[in-house]
Amino acid sequence: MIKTQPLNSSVLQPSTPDQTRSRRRFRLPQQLPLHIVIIVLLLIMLFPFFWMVGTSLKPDAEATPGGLAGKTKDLGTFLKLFWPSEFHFENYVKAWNTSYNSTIPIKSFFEAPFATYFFNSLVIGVAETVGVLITSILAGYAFARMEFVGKGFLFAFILATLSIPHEASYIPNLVIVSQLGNLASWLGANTYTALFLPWIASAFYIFLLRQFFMGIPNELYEASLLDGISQFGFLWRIAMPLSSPAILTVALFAFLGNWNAFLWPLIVAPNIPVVQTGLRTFLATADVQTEWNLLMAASTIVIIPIVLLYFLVQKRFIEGISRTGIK
Amino acid sequence: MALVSAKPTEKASLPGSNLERPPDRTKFSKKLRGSLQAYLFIAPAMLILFVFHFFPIVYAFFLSLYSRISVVKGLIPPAESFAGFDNYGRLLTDPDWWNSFFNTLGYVTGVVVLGLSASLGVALLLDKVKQGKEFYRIAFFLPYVTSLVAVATVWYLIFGPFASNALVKPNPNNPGGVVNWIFSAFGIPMQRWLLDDKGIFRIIFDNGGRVDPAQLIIWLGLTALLVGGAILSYRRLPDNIGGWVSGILVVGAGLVGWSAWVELAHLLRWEGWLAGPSIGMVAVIIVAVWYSLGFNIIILLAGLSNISRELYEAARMDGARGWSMLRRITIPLLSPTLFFLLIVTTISAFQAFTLFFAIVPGGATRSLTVLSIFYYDVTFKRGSGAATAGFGYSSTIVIFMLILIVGINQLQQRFLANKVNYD
Repeated sequence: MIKTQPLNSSVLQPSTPDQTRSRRRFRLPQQLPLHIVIIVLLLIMLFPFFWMVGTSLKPDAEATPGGLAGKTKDLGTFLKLFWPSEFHFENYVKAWNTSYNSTIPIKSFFEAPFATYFFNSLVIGVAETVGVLITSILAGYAFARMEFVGKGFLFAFILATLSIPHEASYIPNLVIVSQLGNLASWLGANTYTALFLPWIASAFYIFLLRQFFMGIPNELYEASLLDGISQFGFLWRIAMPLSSPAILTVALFAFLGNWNAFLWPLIVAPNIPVVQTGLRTFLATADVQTEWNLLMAASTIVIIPIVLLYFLVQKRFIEGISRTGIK
Repeated sequence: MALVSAKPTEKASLPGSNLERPPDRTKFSKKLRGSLQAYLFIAPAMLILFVFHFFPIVYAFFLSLYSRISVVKGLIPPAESFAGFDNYGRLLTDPDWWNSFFNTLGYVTGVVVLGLSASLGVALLLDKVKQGKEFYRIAFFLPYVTSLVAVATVWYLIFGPFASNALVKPNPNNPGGVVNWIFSAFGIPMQRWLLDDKGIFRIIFDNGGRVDPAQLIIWLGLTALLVGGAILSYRRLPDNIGGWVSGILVVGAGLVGWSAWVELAHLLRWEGWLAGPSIGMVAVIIVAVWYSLGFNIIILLAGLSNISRELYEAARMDGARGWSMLRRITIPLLSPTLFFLLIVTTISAFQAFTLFFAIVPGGATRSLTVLSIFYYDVTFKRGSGAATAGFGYSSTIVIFMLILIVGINQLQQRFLANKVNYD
C-alpha cells in the first residue's frame, strides 16, 4: 500500500498538469459571470471605504460637498468625486493633531489629542477583553460541561438578559456606578473602571462559548478525567485550545465593542475621551465649515487599527462566527 | 485539585481502575461538591450580569414609579415624588412616543425584510463560487468590523442633503451628496435625504394629480383579481408552468396595485402610512442593511454548507430547478439559520441607536426618531438644564421597550418556531 502510492503519483505526474490546465480552461468561463456579479456587488459594498480614503487625501478646496459641484456630470467627474487631484498625506497629520476645542500648535506625536484617545481606548479595550474572556470562558464551560443545582434556571436567566437593550440600562447603570464611586473612588463615574466594568460579562459571549464547549466530544472529556485532570485543567489544557476560534471571536467582538462604544463613554466619563467620542466632537464643531478631508482622515485613523486586527485574525474569526448560528 | 479525588466514583466499576476509596459517597454530597465548583466558575459572570444588566431593569421599573427626579443622589428618590403609574399613563398619551413607536416598527420591518433577503441573495451567489470564497467572505464582512460613528459620516457625505433648509430650491450645481449628484446627472429631482420627513411613495408618485374614485375602484378590483389568479395558478397548475404564470400575474398585480395605491394616497392626501417610510428612514435602512450584510452572509454560508450535496443531487434528479429547488430544498433546510438571524436582527434593530444618532449631525428628524433616540432625548435633552431631568419618565420608556422586544420575540417564537425544520 505504502509503496504503490508514490509510484502511482509519479506515474500520473506527467498527465496532471495537462488535466488541471484543461479543467481550469473549462471552469473559469463557467464561473466568470458569477465572479463579475459578485465583484460588482463587492465594489458597491466597499464604495464608502474608497470614498473615505479618497476624500481624506483631498486638498481642502475639493473636499467639501459643495465641491462636488460641476456643470458636467459624467463618469470622469464622478471619479474625481472621490479620487483626489493631488494627494495630501499631511491631512492625516493634521487630523491627528486637531483638537475640537482649541487651536493647539502641532505637538509631538504622543501628545496629540488623538494619541490620548487611542491610549484610552486601548487600555479600556484590553481590560474589557481580558475581563470578558475570564467571565465567559468560565461560565460557558460550566454551563456546557458541569452539572449543578439550578443550572437550567440560571441559564434561562442569562439568556433573558440578552434581550435587554444596552441603551436601556445606561441610566440605572450610571446611578449604580456613581453609588459604587461612593464606596471606592476608582469605581465611580469618570474613571477607567466605569468604562469597562459593566460590560465584562455578556450573555451572548457565554452562549457562544457554551455552544463550542458542548461540541467537544464526551469521550475526550471522560478519558482525560480518568487521567486525573481536574475540571479546570481540562478547560485550560484541552477545551480552550480546541475552541480557539470561538475564544478569538469573543475576544475580537469584545475589543470591537469597546472600540466602537460611543454613548456609554459619553455619559459616564466625559473626562476620558475615547476614539469614538473624540471623532464625534470633531464632527460636531465643524458644523458649517466642516473640513471633510480632515474628518475622513480621522475616521480612517479610527478604523485602521480594527481593520488590521481583523485581517490578522480573519480566518479563525470567521470560522468562529460561522459556527454561532448552527444549533 | 480536590476535584480529582471527588470525580472518579462513577468510573469505579471500570476494569483496570484501581481505586482505593469505595464509591459510597452519597449522591447529594457529590452533586453539591460539583455544584460548588460550578458556582465558582459562573460567579464572576453572574455577579456582573446581575449588577449591571438585570438589576438595572428592576431598578428602572422602580424609578418609573417616580416623577420629577431632578438629581438622583442616592439609590432611592425622595418619597414625595412618588407618582404611582402616572408616567405610564403619560407615556401612552404622548404623541411623540407613538411616533417613535411606529418609526421603530417600520425600521425593524425594513431592516429584517431587506437585510435578510439581500443577504440570502448574496449568500446563495457566494455558495456557488468554487474559488476565492474565503476572500469574498472576508471582504463582505469588512463593514461589520468598522465603527458606526466613522462610517456614518461617510454615509452622510453619500446621502448628503442639498440643503438643510426645506425652503431652499434644489440646485443641480450644488447637489450635496453623491446620491443627489447622480440624481441630478440623470435629471431626477434631488432629495433632502436624511432630513426629509416626506414619505418615499409620495416623492415618487405625487404629481399633484387629480383623483378619480371610479378609476380607483376599478384598479383595486383588478388588483384583487390578478392576485387571486396568481394564487390559483400557483396552486392548481403543474409546478413549472404554475410558477411562471403566477409570477407574471403577480407582476401585473403589482403594477396595477401600484396605480391603485397612488390613487388611494391622492384621495387621502398622502397621510400616515400611505406615504410609505420617510426618505430619511429609507436611507438609514439602506445603511443598516449594508452594515450587517457581512455578518448575515457568514452565518448563512455556514448554514448552506451544512446542507448535504446529495440532497441537492437527489432533488435535481427529481427535476427540481432554480426556484423550486430554492423553495423546496434550500429554504426549508436553511430555516434554523434563517430563524436565528431573524431573532438576532430583530433584537439588534430594536436596539439601534448609534446609527441614527451619528448619521445626522444636526440630530435625528421626527421621522428618524426611533425609540432609543426618543429615550435619549427625554433623558438628556428635555427638561430644564440638569442632565437628569427625565429619569422617571425615561425609565418608563425602558420598561415599554423591554416589553416590546420580549413580546415580539415571543410572537416570532410562537408563530415561526414550528415552521423551522431542525432535521
